[in-house]
Amino acid sequence: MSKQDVILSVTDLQKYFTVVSRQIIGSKVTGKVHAVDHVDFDVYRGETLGLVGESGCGKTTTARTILGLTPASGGEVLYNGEDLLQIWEKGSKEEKMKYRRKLKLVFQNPWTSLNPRMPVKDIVSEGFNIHGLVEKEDARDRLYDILHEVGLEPYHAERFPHQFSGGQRQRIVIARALSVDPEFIFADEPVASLDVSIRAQILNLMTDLQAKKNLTYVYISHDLSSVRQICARVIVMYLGQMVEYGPVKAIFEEFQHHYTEALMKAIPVPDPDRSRERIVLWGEVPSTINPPGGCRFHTRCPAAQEKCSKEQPPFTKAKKGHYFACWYPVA
Amino acid sequence: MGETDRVSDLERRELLEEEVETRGASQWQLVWRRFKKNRTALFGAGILLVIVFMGVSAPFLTFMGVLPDPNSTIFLIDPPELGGGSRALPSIFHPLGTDKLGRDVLSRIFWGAQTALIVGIVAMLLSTIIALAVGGLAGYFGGRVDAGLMMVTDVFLVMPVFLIMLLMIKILSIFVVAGFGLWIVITVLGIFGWPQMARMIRAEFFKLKNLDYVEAARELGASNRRIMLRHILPNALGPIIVVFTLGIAYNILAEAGLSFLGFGDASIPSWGWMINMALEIVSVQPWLVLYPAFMIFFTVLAFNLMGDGLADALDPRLWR
Ligand SMILES: Nc1ncnc2c1ncn2[C@@H]1O[C@H](COP(=O)(O)OP(=O)(O)OP(=O)(O)O)[C@@H](O)[C@H]1O
Ligand code: SF4
Ligand SMILES: [Mg+2]
Repeated sequence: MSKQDVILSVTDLQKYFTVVSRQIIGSKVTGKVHAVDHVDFDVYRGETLGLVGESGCGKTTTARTILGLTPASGGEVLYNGEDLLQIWEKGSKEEKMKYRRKLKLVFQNPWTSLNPRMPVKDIVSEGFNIHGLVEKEDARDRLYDILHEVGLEPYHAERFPHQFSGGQRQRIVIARALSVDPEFIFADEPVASLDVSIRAQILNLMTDLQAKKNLTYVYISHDLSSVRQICARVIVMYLGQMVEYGPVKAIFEEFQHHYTEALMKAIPVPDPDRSRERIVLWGEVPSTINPPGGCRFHTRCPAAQEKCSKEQPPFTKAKKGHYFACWYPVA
Repeated sequence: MGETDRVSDLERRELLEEEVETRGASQWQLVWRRFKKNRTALFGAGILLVIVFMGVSAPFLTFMGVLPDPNSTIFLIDPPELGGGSRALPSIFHPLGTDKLGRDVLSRIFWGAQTALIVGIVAMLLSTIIALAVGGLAGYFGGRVDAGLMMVTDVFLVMPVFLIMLLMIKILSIFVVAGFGLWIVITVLGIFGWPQMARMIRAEFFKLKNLDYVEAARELGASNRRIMLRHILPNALGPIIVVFTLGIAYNILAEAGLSFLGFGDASIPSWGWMINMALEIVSVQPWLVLYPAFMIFFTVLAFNLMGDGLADALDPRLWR
């Protein structure tokens, strides 16, 4: 793809959360969560980029940092050439609002991301009202158009979130994101907490909307089969770092990193606490607070050797567009 | 954009219009449907209804001559066959008798209901506004704003509030024209009644501001003001209502207490004043204490019983 097709360019993005313990007087920093550690990637206009990895590897935090919902610790994010992190930090209100509108997040959990005291019509209209996108007398029509687009009926507008099933709730979440005509959507495990039987519907809805509105997606997921189905390229993350990325076919069939291999072989199991599935590998996930040095996967990697715990492997090119960070690759 | 689009638009319009017709009442119907399932709350509401009726009807009943003027001591010189005189026993003319000054007790009980409700509710509204501002901003913004506002709150919490209220009433009374004494009491109760509620609201805001749907609102571009008023406040409504009703009850007791101590407004019929006066003659006519005490007890009870039920009823998650 040519250079001008890049819509979002992330360079060396970092996000550390400090762990603070309270002292008798004041408080002391006792550790650093390496939630996002030197992440680099480009997203091309109109594509769907997959972001996969175990729970806690920093997928959501990557999205939240890019969207300015939490301040970045370092790095650069360019959206159509505009420096997003600068705008979040010290841009004017108009600038911020402009990018609040263009980039949207579809939240991970539709059970917690809808205000229980708001009827659907207010949830969905809030966006275009705040951004002043429609005249008052057209607001109703606009509301019904959006509901229609996500497969909801007009009478749903008067209802409250708790009156809907998980799938319908996620439609409402999508409607809220669409209400401001975005260009770019981070879809954070949009189907993970849903019943298996309705996941396909929601994914189809999302791909239909993408085609219709020319949207660009970053699709965050545990569910590798859906990643394979809708993504053009995939990033694999482990403990805040990228370990491998490339075209979907290469990642699934010619993976080089041992962590990617482990993901491919793992079977998702239902997680009773979080009402969704998660990937379970062998061994303990090391803490993201002061994570292991060298290759972060060395504590669990079957192919690990001495070098792995000492030196961090650099990104190596497997073939065009396919890179991995491993000293002793799979193939 | 073909013909089909237009047709479906029309269909949707129709559906919309049907919806609008059924809507108006329906949300309140849902609230009521939920509220009436709660027996105790319903009982509280029943008592309150009677008291509100007494308070509201007092001026009308007096105007129409059904009740005598609550401040008129004319009965003092009424001949005994009309039930007159001070400390008269219950009679057809004065169903509850008259007090030390020969005023009609029943009429004063009715008018006292009005005083109690006005004091309780208006003072609590004032307290709630302060508590929302202080607690809401502290909880939402955290950090220094929080530290500063909570320090002020703590100062109010450790002050000997009741003594200061007495002092303030005395001082303010110098400047205020007679007849407005009640408003001094209301203002003072309102100004001192917020710290507990502010702490509670702060805790709620603190908890709610980190929830996903609040982040979603921020992500949408909502202003802080909008987030606080539309996303956090409605979800903190339950505990606020409970504390609000408890506060009304407290204010009614406090007004009675202030009046009892002689710090109320003697020109306005109040249950607290009635107890104050009746106590002077309690050895002769002990029942004169009982009427206002009974009213205070039931009013406070009614508000306490209603709080929980009201908080539940206003929660859409519990509507069926
Ligand atoms: N506000 C925060 N404060 C401290 N640590 C945080 C915070 N948010 C996230 N973290 C930590 O950062 C790491 C990455 O979290 P994140 O939610 O991004 O993971 P994720 O890949 O989205 O996981 P999941 O699949 O469970 O959603 C985790 O270790 C998490 O505990
Ligand atoms: S670098 Fe070493 S530890 Fe890391 S994945 Fe490769 S072989 Fe395993
Ligand atoms: Mg996540």
